[in-house]
Amino acid sequence: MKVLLIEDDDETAEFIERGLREQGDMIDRAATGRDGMFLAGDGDYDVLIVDRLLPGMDGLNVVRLLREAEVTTPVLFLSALSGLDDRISGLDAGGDDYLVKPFAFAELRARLRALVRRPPMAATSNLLQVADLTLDRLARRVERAGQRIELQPREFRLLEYLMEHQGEVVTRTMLLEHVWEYHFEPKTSVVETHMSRLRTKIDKPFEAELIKTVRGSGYVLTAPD
Amino acid sequence: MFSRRPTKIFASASFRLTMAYAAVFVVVTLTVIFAGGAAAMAIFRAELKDEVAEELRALAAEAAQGRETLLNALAARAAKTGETGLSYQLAGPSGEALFGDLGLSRFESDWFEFVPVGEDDEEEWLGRAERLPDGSWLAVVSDLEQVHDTWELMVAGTGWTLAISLPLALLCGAMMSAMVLRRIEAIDATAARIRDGGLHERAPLRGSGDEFDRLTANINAMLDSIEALTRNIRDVSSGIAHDLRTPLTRVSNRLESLQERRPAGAELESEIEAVKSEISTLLVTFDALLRIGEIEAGTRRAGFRTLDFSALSGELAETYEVMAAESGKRLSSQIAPGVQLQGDRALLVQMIANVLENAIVHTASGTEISLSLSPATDGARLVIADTGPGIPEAERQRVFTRFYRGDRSRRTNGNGLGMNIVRSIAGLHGIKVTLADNAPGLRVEFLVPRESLR
Repeated sequence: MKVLLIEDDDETAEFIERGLREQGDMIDRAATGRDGMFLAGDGDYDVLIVDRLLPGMDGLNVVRLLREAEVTTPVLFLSALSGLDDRISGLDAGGDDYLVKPFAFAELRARLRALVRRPPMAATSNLLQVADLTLDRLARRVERAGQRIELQPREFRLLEYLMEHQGEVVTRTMLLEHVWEYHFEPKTSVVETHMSRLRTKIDKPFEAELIKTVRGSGYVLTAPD
Repeated sequence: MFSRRPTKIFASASFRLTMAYAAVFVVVTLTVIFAGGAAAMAIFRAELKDEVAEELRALAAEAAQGRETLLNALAARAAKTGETGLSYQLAGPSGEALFGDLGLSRFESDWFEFVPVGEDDEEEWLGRAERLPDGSWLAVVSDLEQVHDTWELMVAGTGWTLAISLPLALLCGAMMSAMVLRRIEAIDATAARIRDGGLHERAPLRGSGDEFDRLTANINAMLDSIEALTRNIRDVSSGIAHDLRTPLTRVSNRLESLQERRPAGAELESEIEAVKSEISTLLVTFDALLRIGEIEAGTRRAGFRTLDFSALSGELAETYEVMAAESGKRLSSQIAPGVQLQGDRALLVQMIANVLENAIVHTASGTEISLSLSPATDGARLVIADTGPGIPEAERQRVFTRFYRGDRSRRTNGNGLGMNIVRSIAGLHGIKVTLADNAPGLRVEFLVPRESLR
């Protein structure tokens, strides 16, 4: 994965660069909006990480101008601004995801992977499939190994999200935002509890485990090797 | 300090008010006098015209008896000019003077004004001529002296009137503006005291309920809310300081001990996990505070959409039925379909989730929790009740204050901001939240007013 990071804070930039290089990713850095725009328009990147508050040109404008220039590279906004409004204005400007500082590296990595490998089929296809597990969005029907599985609406949505991102790590925060529409930290272990019930229904009765916990990061749904 | 020095007299509102009052007074006085005068003058003139016309008719009658009779009559009347103010001229058909000489040369049967020879040219006389049957012209003229005298008298009177009334007007103006400005100065003085640090100061009310009382009452109400906000900010800052000091101290202690002991393997891992978890608690608290700030700024109202409150409540009930069951409690829900309202989805989800989570986290196993949404006469009512320990009546209001934590919840996780967020979100949506006794347990009622429904 080739990443362009537009971030003026050296410490944050080094933290991200070190992490991504360890994963074997390529990364370029720009410290100002102007340099970032120049590189983004020129280079062939898989994803851009853009800080909201940049010297000279603000991150929102950078992305707005890139979108106007028809640069369609996915953008992840990085920002210390955590208000719901800030999130919305980031997405309106043409960003694809929004991550609030401070963040865990695992969260950033998971979100970047989700942006880069967003399967084009997932958005349009009504039938999702991983190994012998199928989910029919229209009929709201889930089957594994030809056997019908009854899920509660929330469990269905959770499985749907995992299957849309099959093979990618999804974090707890991503699940809270997309499955529950929570933009706050709940006091109860909502994600863990629902995940455990979902596993009881789709994994336990069967031989191979499809949902795996990735320690310190989140979950991944993937076909067994 | 620059507030209480006396203002320059010409710059003062008092001076300008007084002058304006006096000017209006003078203009009104003059208008009344001159309008009245002009009317009086018109009446005088009309009367004089009648007199002249009457005289002409009488003399025409004399003329019918022959020229001698007319000349005699004219002579008799001309002798009384001093009393009547009337003068006469009789001219032959070709204009030759037969009696009197007013200097008239051209005759017409109509009214005319002229300045007679040797008279002050500002004083016009008024007359009328008539042609007699023998072709001669008879003119009768009034010297208008009465009219001119009245006018002069009036002008003189006006001078006197102004001489007396102008000081009176100035006095009245001064008194009026003093009355008005005394009220304003009282408010000004209060403002100055407040600026010097006395935020508890209030402007005095007179109790008359007039505009100034209303202004004062509004200013006082504004000061009340500013004072409450300031106190709130002070409470919150010290709340934050206290609440954050404990976990920060723990983080600092753990790091210090790590530095000394330099443990390896699993212990190091678990120590680092512990520090990370302390820090994430801190971040959650910060997020909650920022969220409250954002909500209370009211800017989110711009993003209100019509949304299905029934569906939203149903989804949350579904999630928390699972969560309740997990900890040995039971959540049941009764939701009337089709309740739509104007609002912010993300915030309303947080509002209901916070209350449901409290009911799950702060109660013992076996507790019954219920969520119901029903239409009411004045809107819609969402009730979340539990059979847990409840909150003593005396403490119920304090639940909504920032960083409040009941004695029972001290042992559990939480930052004391949950119910504060609930109330802020409700307030933003015009929803009224009340806490009541569920006998036993706590009953949280949200009343969505009719105006917020869609």
